[in-house]
Amino acid sequence: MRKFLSIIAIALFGFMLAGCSEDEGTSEAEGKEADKVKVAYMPNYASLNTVVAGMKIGAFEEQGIEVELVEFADGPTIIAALESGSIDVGYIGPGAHVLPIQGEAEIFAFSQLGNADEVIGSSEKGVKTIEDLKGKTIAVATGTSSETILDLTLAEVGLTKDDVTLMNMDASAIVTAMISGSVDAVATWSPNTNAIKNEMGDDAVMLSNNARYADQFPSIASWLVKPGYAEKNEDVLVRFTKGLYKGMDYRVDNLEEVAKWVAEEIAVDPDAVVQQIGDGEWITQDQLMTMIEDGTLEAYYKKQQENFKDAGRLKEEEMRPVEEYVLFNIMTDAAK
Amino acid sequence: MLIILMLFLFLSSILVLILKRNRETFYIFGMCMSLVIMFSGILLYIAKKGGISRELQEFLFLNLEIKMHIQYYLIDVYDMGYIIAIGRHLFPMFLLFLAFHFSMIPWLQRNYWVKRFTFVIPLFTLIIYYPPIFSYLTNNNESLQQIIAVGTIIWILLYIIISIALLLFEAYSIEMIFFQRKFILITSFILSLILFYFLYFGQDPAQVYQFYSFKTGIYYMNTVLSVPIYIFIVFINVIFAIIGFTSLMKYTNDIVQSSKEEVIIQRKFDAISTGTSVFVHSIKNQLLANRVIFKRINNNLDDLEKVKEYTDRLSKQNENILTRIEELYRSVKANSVYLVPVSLSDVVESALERFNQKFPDKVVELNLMIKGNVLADKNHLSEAVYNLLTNAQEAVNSLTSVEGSVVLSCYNVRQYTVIEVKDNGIGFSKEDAKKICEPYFTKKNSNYNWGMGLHYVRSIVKEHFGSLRYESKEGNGSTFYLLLPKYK
Repeated sequence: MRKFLSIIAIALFGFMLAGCSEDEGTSEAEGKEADKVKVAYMPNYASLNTVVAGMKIGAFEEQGIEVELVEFADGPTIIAALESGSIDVGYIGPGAHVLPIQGEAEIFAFSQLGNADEVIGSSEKGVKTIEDLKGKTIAVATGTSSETILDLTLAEVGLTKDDVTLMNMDASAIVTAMISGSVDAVATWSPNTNAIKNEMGDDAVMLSNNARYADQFPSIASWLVKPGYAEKNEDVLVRFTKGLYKGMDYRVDNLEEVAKWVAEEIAVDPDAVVQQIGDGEWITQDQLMTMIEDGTLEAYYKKQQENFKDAGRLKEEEMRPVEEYVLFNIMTDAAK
Repeated sequence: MLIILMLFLFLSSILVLILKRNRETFYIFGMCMSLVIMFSGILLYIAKKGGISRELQEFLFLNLEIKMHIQYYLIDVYDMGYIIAIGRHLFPMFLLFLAFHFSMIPWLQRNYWVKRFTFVIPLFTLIIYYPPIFSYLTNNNESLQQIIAVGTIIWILLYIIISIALLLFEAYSIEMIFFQRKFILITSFILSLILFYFLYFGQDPAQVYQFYSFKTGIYYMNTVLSVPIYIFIVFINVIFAIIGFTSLMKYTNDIVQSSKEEVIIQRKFDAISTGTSVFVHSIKNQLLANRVIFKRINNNLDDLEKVKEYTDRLSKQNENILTRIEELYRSVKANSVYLVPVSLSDVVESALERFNQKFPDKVVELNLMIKGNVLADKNHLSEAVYNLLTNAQEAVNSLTSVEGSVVLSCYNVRQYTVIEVKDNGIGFSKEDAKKICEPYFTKKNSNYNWGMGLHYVRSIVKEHFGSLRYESKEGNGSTFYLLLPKYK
């Protein structure tokens, strides 16, 4: 018995050593080549299109950047991963922007104005209009932009959260809850919205989306890094942004092709990703520069802060000048 | 792989609980269940949150398909968080219960309230973390949430540190090697469970309640180990679980095990076949020998001296038969003992007196480390000790080269008063060790030893709510321990 145990112990020890040495070997080899940037994404078109396009057309390679993609389900987790140093750069949707405002991260590039959030009712359960939501059970991911859209939707007909029953769920469970008929309506985002519509067909009724409240609630998506990262790695970040810009420009002219690339990357049906092409307003590098120059971009971020304050997610004293957490200089330097 | 480990712990703890229903197995079952519950919640959470490498995903969920099923599992974030809370807060509680249960520190045994108090903090924390109560308490009060999170981590760590200290102290304090060995194996198993618990013990349930709006970092992001280390921990757990569960089965219940053996022995004893035939055969042999003597007496009636010699021999044979029959009668009737507090030294003295009658020229080395009483039937117990001394002396008598010694020691170990008989005689093999307590098993001259001695000793000790243990190596002597409950 003792012999047997010691053999196992030695085998395991050797195994651990082998595991460690393998890790060391890889990082050493990579250090000599391109700068490695670990990029956090969410498995949808809006999050991945620019970076995948940039990778496929060799835009990052051209800048001496090697991109490694890491999948996440939501923005707050990406910001947490930035903090822990397990990733370098991340993409977030509108809901998580409260965190960079509070100083948890810095935005170095604008991605797009999104149109991914929707409130969907189940006609089978008697929810065909916004008014029908009264007294119904709604699944929502608290703390995300879909919650804001739900608030705006309810407010439109004079309802509040007290008039409905909310079930706080994660995005994946929301899909299951709606399809299985456990809830009467949901507030969620693409591609979950598409999954629900594909499964339920005409029973799923879209009640509202970002576009309906575009003036009140700009649904901004951005690229960000942890505080202090940009200062130490400005060169890498500018080169990375240059790669993103090339991807942005290529995407605008090749929406479907990029959708297929994205599908390939996240191993899902290409048609499901093509359905997401309408999830945002896709702009080019030049359009972005114009938005920076005429102050439109800054105004969007300002409006976003006010919305967070109104929704009670941001305190008055936490509001601060946009340029403190949005690094316009990286965006303009990368365009040069 | 993690899923497989969870299943393994789940099934084996249920199995052990079914086979052995006692406090130790219940507490270990509680610990394993808490781990399974906690890790179910954690795996749900990680599947839904993401942010880990494909390699680690495969380690945690086996394959992406299982991960997707878990990710889309319909559960509200409060239920998911509370699952983690239940497992996370019950594990240290069961652990401390187990450590208290194993611990023989007198203060702990006296102050029963300490054990009762063990469940108060976990229960209180579980009430606080109950989602409606937690939301009510911490709504717009981040600092209170922080205090709850830190306070919880502190008590969890305290529980674990105290438990580890108690278990290690206990392992160190056990003086009898065969108990210590098994206890160390059980402790190693418990430590491996703690290591497993430590992987994700810092996961605050509040973070799951606030799935998309928690601000201070995702716990599992900071603790992601490399996959080889994860695999190493899982291996350690499986190996120690197998060893630990096996030792637990043996350790926990000497009593159950002994009683099982007892049943077997009893059955063998009851079976008329071997036992009785050996006994009858021996009696018949002696009676046949007597017939030969009677014939010789008849043939030598004139020679009085010879007749005297034969009658002496007959008388000796007669006494011998009577002694054997009495022995048999005693071991059958051994279930009627009368337990009263008696002085240990009286028992020893009485045993030595009988021993000296049989071996007037032999000396037993006496090592009486304690004085005081034991709850015993003096006659039976001293007869049992006398039996052990006789066996030891006979084992020593078979020696030719070395000088033999028989040592009788008495001492207290944890909850037992131990009477130890040690010799440096011929010893016995592992195979014989299994049969040594069976009736009619003997390796000695069958005219004087019919193999009832150890069976008798064992029955007597059982009647005293104790047990008989022995260690031996062929050619290197034997040690017999009579473990009697300590009389307070």
